[in-house]
Amino acid sequence: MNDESAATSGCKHCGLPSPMGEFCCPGCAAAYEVILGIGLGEFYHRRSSPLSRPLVLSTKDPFASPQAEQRFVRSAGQGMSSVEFFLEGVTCSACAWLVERIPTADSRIFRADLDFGRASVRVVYDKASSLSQIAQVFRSLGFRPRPGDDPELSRLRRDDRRLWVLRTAVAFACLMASMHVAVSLYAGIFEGISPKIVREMGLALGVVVAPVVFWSAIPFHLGAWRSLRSKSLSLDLLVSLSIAVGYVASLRNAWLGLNETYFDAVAMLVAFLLAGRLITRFAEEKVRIGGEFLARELAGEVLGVRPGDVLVVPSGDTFLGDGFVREGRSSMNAAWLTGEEEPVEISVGDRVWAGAVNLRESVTIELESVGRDTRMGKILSLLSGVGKGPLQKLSRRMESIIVGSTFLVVAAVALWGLFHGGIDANRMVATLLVACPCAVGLAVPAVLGVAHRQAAGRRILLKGVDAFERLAQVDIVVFDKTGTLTRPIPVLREAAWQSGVQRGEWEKVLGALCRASAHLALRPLRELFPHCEPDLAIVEQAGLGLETLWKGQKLRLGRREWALDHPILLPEEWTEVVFSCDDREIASFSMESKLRPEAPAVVQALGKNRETWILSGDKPGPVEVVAKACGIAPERALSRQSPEDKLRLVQQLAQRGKVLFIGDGINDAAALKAAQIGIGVQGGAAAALSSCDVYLAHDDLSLIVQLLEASRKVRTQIMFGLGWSVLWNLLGVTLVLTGFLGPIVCAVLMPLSSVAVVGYALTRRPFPKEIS
Amino acid sequence: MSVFGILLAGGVFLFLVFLGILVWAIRNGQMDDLQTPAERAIWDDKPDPGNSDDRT
Repeated sequence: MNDESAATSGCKHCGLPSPMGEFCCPGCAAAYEVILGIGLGEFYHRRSSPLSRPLVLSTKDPFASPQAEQRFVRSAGQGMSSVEFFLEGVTCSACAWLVERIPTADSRIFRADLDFGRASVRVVYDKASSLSQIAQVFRSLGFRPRPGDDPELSRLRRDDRRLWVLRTAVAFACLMASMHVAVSLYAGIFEGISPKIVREMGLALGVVVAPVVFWSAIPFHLGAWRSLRSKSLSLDLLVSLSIAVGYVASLRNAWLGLNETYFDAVAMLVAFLLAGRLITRFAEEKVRIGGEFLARELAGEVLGVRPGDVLVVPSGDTFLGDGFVREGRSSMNAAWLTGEEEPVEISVGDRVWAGAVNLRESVTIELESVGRDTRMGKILSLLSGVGKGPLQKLSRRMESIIVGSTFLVVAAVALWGLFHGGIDANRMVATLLVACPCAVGLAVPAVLGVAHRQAAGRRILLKGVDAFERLAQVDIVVFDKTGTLTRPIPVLREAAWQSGVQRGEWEKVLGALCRASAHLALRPLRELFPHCEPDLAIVEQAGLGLETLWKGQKLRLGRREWALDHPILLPEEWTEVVFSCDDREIASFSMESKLRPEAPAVVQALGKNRETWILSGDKPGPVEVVAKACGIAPERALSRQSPEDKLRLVQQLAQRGKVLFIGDGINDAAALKAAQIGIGVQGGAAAALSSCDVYLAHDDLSLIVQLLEASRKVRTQIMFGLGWSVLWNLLGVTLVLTGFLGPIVCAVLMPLSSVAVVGYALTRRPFPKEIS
Repeated sequence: MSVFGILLAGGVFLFLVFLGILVWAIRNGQMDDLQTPAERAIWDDKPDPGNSDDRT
């Protein structure tokens, strides 16, 4: 096969940058060999975009247990089984081609039907093969099969989706049929038609539209029933009533042989509303699948691994939980967590994170947390928080007001008619149709849906639907310093050894000590001391340092006062790390936190018309330097701030305005929670992540500027959508009451209003096209 | 019975036939995935024997 195209664009298999040679990792090399070996090398001609890095094999195979077989495999008859995987790594048409060609290359697999949109594949295979073997076929090609939905749940969701499609399709089919009949009827009326035929055609229309009213519209009727039971006014109540009144009035007119029937209008109302809800459901399902797909990165829940498990993780495999390396050296790609594609070196004692990929060599890890307790789990849990913001509540209130007002208007029309020559059913039906507040109900979710999708595309995760609204109201911006305005990992500035100290004697101990903690200030020391003294019992004192006993001596590595057993006065960042033996200084290491290059511009952009503050636990000097570089007034750059101090100040500032707190550390968690809105910066501590409302999964502070600008636009767009909907309804009702609009025109105008609102939302771009 | 009745009966019959076809299509998953079939259409090679119905 001609593989030049692959070779010239990086890794021969995945096409991603490959600094190590032809392949970026052993997983890609293996996948490349397998694809050529089974005669599907054409894949590399078809491929149009880079793939994700593959897996070779998994030590802890999610599909290897009997429980997995029982849960995910179903009989497909005739000695065959079927299973559905979510398939990660399907990025383009060529991937789809490769997946569906697997049956030609592997006799155990009979069918592989890919659903590109849902990134799932249904596999029918020989019953004699195990689920694990089938999953391995996909892994060997470079894809990552994840357990799909539980088959029963999957079936229920599929059936529900199909039912909605069928309801909508029937509504549209009946709508078209009714329009055929209606056009003939209208033509007949103008051309001349006998009253008998008018009556028959009218009743025929009633028959044609009956499936729409009595079957397709069931979701609206059920919604109306729920609304009545909960004694609330909902959109479904008005829709259901409009359908019922329209249909009954039309039947009455048809029976009496009158020309005025609205069967086609009723069918149109139901068909358009169903189509709108179907689109919304598809969009929601995509979001759900996306979330579940990410959640499966955690895998721990599915695999049954537990904290304390020791796993061998081969090159190319994903870490199944947070933990640390017990044996081996390798590098990992933790881009999902850190935003950095650059491989991170790991060796004994280093921490690894769920979802990160082991790149180079096999390592043995011990798990400390799995599933939702991992850092990734905590980040993903942000996605599940759902609340209702003020604008959503306003939308609901407006919906109720419009529904209530419509009922009042209809009642007034009926009463007026009662005393002035008979009830005008046409006008009542027209009022019900034109006042349907569908657009009000769509305005907020449509705009927020687009904004959330665009935010997620920029790796900005927002907890709850009201985050945009709260962001738009911010008056005061408070920054943490270390890890937020400066880089989280400091740079070693100076290593000062006491005179007469034999360095070689201590280096291995230091190597072991600095690997026993996840503290970022110790990272530069790991590179300085690559070798470890084995079997040291090390105790970490939170916020102070590490301690061990070695040859009867008490060794400490950490803050100066603590290491030298002096009284500890004030909390501060670890800009200096001291190594001591029996309270005697052996060496000290000075660290420097480097300012993020984009920080000054971001602070200045956020400071326009807003107050900006820095709150840091660090010493005054570094804080002043950062404040000066970012243009923050010295009186608003507070150093030596404990978590309690930060919380207190945020609470004080909150009395003057809406506070946005941007931080990353555990010491920021309380302030993040207390602020009007908290933004957690990529790479931050898990406690901080769980406290924040927004998480930046990309290492770029300028996203905050984009986010605030987008939130302002979102607010404007929502208000515009709501205003438009109300105006439309008011105008429509006025025209109906003054006799300018009849029910049929109203039936056309009502869905047009919804289409206009959704169209408006879809064409807006709250975020700029390019990330700066 | 007037011609209108015959037409109506014929129309209802055709409607039911097409409704049946629609139900059959939906139940067989024709509407489940609207993206991959469009991708398959541009694979200009022969259909995959592995995915032919005779193997199921």
